[in-house]
Amino acid sequence: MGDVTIGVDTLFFVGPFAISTSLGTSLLLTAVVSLAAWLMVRRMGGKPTRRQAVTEAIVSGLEDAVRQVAGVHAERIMPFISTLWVFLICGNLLGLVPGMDSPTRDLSVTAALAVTVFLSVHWFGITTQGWGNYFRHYLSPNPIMLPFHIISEITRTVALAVRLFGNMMSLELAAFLVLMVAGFLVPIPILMLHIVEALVQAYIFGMLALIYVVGGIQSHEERSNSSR
Amino acid sequence: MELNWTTFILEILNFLVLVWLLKRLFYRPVQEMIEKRRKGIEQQFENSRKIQERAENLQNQYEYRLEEWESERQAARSNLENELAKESRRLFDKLQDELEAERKKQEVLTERQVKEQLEKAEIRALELGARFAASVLKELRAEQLEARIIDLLLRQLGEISGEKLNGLATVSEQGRQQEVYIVSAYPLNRIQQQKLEECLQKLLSAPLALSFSEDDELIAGLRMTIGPWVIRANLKDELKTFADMARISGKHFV
Repeated sequence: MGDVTIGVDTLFFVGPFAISTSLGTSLLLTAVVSLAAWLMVRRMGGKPTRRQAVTEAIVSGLEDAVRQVAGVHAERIMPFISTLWVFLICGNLLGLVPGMDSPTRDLSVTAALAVTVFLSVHWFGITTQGWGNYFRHYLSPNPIMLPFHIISEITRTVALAVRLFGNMMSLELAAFLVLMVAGFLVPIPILMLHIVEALVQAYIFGMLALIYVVGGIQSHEERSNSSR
Repeated sequence: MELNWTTFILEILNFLVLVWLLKRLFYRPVQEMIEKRRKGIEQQFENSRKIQERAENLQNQYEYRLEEWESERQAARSNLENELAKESRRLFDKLQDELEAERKKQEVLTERQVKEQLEKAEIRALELGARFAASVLKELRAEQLEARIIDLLLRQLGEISGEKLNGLATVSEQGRQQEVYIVSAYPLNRIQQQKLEECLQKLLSAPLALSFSEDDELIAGLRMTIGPWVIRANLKDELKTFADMARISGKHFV
């Protein structure tokens, strides 16, 4: 962790587009996670091996966590939320790997994830109830509330992005500062703090995203039910 | 802390690609496998439930059959007991009949034995009576009785019928001398011997050779033997004749 730097470096340029280290790490993370998933799913059979049992336990755990909140919509939402958890856990913990930085310490990455969540809320809402029915809830209880609904959507998305970025950035900065001051006396507690913080932040981000998505679907359903 | 738009946009694409990849490569196959196993388990559970239902039906059938068998066994046992009772009663009655027949047979046998004993006793009594009479008569030394018997014999010989007379004549037809043996209880005097000789001479019409002897066993009277003809005119033979007649009559009676 001695190589920790505060800024985000640029790996290379593709024309006018700068490819940052956090994007490279994210792409690498996507490749590794996909490969690992393919390896875990390979040669599954009716009689489960230990690897298959672990794989099924992970998927079942993720599905149960989503189902407890989303209910009947869990099947549609589960891949998105579960991928968000997997990506954030792995991304947050990447900071522990020597020579690598967490991609979530980059505001561009967290903002991208927050915008993805923002878009997914509308995507699942629209695909569930249709355009008209979904956007009508922005006018309830009366059209005057529309600006407040829009501000609420924007602020919670920004908060989502900034919360993760701020926590991960501050975590790594704090760890850097502690290591600078205390030397090598406290690396293990700092590592433990990093792991716990990474898991907690991933859980919070994913759970908030789940609540937003489910809230968008269920608020509309409640309104539909009350109008009947 | 500045926002890199390239990173921002490519990160969104990267994440959506990751969602798509994991959905296709990870979640869906695993969920399908879990669903497949769940269906397999439900199928096994259903099969187990059917097997259990079948086992319960078989158990119910078995219990029903067991109850039927028990009732059949009770009925068969009751029938067997009835038949045994009937057979036992029949054998008992048969045994009673046999015992009754045996008892009657034994009664008849006993009665016959009693009669035989009684008859033997009577015969014995007759014999004893005859013997007693003989001993009494012997004690009486009845010489006069013998004389009376001889007189009676002579009178009867004189009154003998034609048929018997022919029989005596047949004995002496050959014309030769006929031997006559006369045994008396007491010695005969001369007069008695002459009377007998004259009487026999008259009956037989043949030369006679009389020989006299004594046998006190005759008690009184005499016994004459003329060839095959024997005239028993004495008390011993008379008593013996009475005893034999009583024995014969007793046998016929039995």
